[in-house]
Amino acid sequence: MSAAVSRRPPVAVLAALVFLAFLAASALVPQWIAPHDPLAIGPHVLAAPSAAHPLGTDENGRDVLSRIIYGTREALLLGFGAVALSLVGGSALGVLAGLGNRFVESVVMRFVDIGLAFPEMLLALVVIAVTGGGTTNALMAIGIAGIPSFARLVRAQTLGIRRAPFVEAARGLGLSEPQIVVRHILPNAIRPILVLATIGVGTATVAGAALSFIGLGTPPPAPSWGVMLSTARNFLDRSWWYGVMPGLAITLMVVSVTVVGRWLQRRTEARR
Amino acid sequence: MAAARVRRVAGAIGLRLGGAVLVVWGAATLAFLAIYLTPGDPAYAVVGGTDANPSPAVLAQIRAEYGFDQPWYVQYGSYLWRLAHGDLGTSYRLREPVATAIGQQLGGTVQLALAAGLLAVVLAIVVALLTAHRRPWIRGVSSSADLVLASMPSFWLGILLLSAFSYGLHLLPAIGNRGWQSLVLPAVTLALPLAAVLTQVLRNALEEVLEEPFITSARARGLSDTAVRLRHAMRHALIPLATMTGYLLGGLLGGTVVTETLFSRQGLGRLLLTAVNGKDLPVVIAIVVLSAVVYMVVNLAIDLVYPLIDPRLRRLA
Amino acid sequence: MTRKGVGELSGELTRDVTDEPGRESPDVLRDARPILAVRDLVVGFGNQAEPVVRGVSFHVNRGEALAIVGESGSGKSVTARSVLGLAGDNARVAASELSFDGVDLRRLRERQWRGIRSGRIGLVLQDALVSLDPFREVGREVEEVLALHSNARGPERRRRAIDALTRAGIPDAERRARQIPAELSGGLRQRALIATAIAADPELIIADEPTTALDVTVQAQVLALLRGLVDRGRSLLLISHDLAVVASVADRVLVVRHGEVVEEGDAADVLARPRHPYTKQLLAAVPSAASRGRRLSGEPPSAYIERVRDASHGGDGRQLAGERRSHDGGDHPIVLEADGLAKSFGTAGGARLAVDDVSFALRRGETLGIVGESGSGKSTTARLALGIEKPDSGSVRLDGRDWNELGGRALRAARLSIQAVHQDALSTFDPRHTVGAILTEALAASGVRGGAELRARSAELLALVGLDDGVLDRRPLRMSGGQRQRVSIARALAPRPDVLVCDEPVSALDVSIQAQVLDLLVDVQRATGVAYLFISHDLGVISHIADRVLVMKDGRVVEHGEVRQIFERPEHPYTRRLLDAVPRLEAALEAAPESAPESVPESASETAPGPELDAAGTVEAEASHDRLDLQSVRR
Repeated sequence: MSAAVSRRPPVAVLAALVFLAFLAASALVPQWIAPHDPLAIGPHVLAAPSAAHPLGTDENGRDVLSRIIYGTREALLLGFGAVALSLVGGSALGVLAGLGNRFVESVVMRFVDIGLAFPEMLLALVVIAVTGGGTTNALMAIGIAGIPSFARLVRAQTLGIRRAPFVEAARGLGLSEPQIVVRHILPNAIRPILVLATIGVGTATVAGAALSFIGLGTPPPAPSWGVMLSTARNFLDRSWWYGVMPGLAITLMVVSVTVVGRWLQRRTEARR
Repeated sequence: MAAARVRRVAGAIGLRLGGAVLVVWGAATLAFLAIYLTPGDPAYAVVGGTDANPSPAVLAQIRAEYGFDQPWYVQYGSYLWRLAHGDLGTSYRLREPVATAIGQQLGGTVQLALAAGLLAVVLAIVVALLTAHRRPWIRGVSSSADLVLASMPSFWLGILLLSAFSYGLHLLPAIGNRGWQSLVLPAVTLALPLAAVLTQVLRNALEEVLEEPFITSARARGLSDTAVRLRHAMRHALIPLATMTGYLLGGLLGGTVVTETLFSRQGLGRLLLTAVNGKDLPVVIAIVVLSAVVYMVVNLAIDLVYPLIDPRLRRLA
Repeated sequence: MTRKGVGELSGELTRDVTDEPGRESPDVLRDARPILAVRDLVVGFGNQAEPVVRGVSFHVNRGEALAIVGESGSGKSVTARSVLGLAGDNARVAASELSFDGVDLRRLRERQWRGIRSGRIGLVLQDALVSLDPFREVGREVEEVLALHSNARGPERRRRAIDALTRAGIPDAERRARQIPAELSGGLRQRALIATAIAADPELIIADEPTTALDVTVQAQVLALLRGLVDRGRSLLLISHDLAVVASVADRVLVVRHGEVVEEGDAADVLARPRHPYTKQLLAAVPSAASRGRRLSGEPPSAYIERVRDASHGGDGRQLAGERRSHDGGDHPIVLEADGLAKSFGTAGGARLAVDDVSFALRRGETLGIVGESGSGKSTTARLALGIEKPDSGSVRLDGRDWNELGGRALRAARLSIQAVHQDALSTFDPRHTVGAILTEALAASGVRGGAELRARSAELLALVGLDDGVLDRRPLRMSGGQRQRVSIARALAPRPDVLVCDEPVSALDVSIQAQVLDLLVDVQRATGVAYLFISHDLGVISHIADRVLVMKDGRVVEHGEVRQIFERPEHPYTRRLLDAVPRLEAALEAAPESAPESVPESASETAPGPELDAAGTVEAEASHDRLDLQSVRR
């Protein structure tokens, strides 16, 4: 069962990894990849795809492909940044609840319950209502909104491992509690969560694009997938590709991240 | 025996209700903290931002009117007191009670959320039952479709649907709240990603159940495949489906923000967005607290559904 | 179980059947054609090149019980399921003959299969807790069969369902029918499962490990029930890993290994005079009182073990575990002592006393067995001894020091001198660790410092448990059950403990692997002088390995003493009942080879009831009617 799963990644995973590598390059060095300046206004407004503009132009005659490539940085930053924030915050709370005594656990978990009662999008909106919009605030908002669910997962994982026979075995070898926590509980509790976080990057990216779409994320004219879609909404009757391409980029990214994440998940599960 | 059971169930519900009240109280407190800690003078938000350049007298009057000049515990106390009596406060911007504003917008959103939720659950059940544990290519096609649909930003899906059905084929209206036609695209936009997630959950659950020994027993009884799925497997798979449905329905209000914006529909989502943009915090808070209440109610209802599905929860508790 | 029990029960069942019109058991018995014939069955899965079943042929005669015996991976379950067309979606089934009562099963369409399943061939699986729909009342499960295979509707169908439950030996069936599996005891659940299989009165019943999850006394009842079905004219295909179970039920037996038949014949004949080396090996591997002091695996101790024993213990080592058996034990110090242990756990219905006034003393180099059925408190006793649980009252003294008086560093140091070996070794290893990391951690915890010494001690431990250095880089997940258990023993020995608490250490293993691990445990004890507190539900294992035994029931010790004395002359009625219930290989020897199934009640009634195990187990006794043990079966 497991040998086949773990060694060679299947074709879909390879394809996803290649696409993600391309995105990473676009985020780091977009100027090497994009054919045009993303802010350069051109004469051809809402032009159909052509040799000069493979994905057409927008309402200001800017090259859509270049804008998508330059927009990668914002998308990846939002996705990975927000998840990193959720992961760190959620793990801290989750471990505290999972390892703490009954009092600590119930205090932490009441807070987590309150956080969970807000849909993540609404929690993000509340944060933005207080802090205002913009890329950084959107990242914070999505990251904070994700903390409660990560906290719950980490706590469940920690509790499960705390009762695992191998922890009992370590105790039987005379290891002290701090040693057991550091050597056995934490690594085993966090590892599957890291894998889940990979998949969470997809969700966070979509949330980031949604905030930009409703005007609370990255402000124009900086290239942003969500903002592009929001603008394209007004020109659907004249130019369908403008509304298709940025969304395709988001979807492909999320699919790739999910495919890789699930593969990692299967590998981890095969190992236990 | 029966009386004891009723008492036990009532006790469990009471406990959950108590927990729900606690969570709503916590949500309200957090919301209060959010306003209180927001940098800047809320009086400016009432007059429409610093650009409005109000006179100090006007600001002082507003502070007195909204109680901004009171110490925090007085503000918090009167806020909770009013909240407990169903008074959600007055909107800074709309200059009307928040309850009125919400009441006007509630209908459209409830319509949209219910239509989308129902559509998503029905679609998920049908697709999962038809595709779980089938030939590899059927599974492959179906799970790829789920993956793509679940990965799509819903607003992009909406844009695609708009392009095709409104601007391409001219079948359905692009915007507005008029008639059932205007509900179709927003509901589908909201439902498809939900349906995709629910299908994944349900299909995984079904496939797990279909590997159980009692399914082999049922087949050995001479039951047809359809009967095995409907009579035995489905009931078991409903448990994770219910959990996930509760989670997603509770969060549906977040999804309506984007959908209502995209389709220019009236509703709570738009109201919330306008309020966030205008720093109209009483409205933001009211909607958030409302959403927390909905979430708690939905999940309480789901908790009551579990024992109906799994008799062990009724009989062995 | 004894044939006596079978005879009594089957008598009742036969009466039940003859009341029912339309069944003609005596005639069926005389039909010479086999009811099930399988020739050259090959079953493979997915795109695996190697089939799981490789050309198996057998037949089941009418009114006969055929058992397919094999270890895991033998393909026995797949064979049984193929007969019902339930081998699985991705199974490739081929055979030159696969026929049931003249019907060619290979040509059946799905719809026709449905008529056969339960209508004519019933299936009983292992563990009804998961083999019956946990959400449905058992009565409805039985009714489902009747809805498909009879015309009975409404109250009539209900009546017949309750009747089927009654025939399966469920008292007060009307009430039980309204309960879900989780509300029934293990035995009643399994009977309910059998009721679904027999509700439509099929001619053939396939039972796949039908008693594996059950306690021994319940197992005896269920086996009697199955045998009773055969005695009233039904045919039985029994799948089992347990030779003793087979011996007590089957008329004929088929021994399979790696998807091939290695031996076939009359049950008594095969078990008494096995011809194939594998069958001989299997039979020799079964532990019992008579196998004490003999190597179960047939393999000699490793050269390393011999060396260690000679070097470090010399004459003392041999004396420790070898001739010590007679024993009054006074010369060896007590390493572990429990005094008046009690422990209760809170449940919904108040506190339940899991362990109640348990006392024992374990001396160096000795093995103390604890035997009991599920819920008897034996595992809790083990956890109390290990100091994982604290007793409500009473004390555990390890090397003279009370667990309760230790704390912090002293407690952690004391833990090193008592180590544990569990049933599920895999779960006791950190999933991230390789074997090397597991041993290193254990050695480091016991104070071994420095790379060279760590490596030397790791190699030593591996040699002690019969593994080579190559496994150091491997993860336990990728190892076999036997290898994992060896790693687990090696880790437990790393701190050079005085006591090893073995909690069902061989219960999850196949019999031949179990034999190797039991041999290893004996070797290790002889080489190191470690004492074992050995927990098992299996009386055979206990009587093989333990010097003294505690018999536990409902948290209390009902009897304790020398193993031989207890198993030869049990005084407590519960011990007697337990011993009675154990299926024995010798049961097969008692039945005359020619005996037809219907003669079983008579032959059974001739047998004097009595549970005594023959202590001597000499070869000369073989022909007699004394209850022999394996010693006599072994060639």
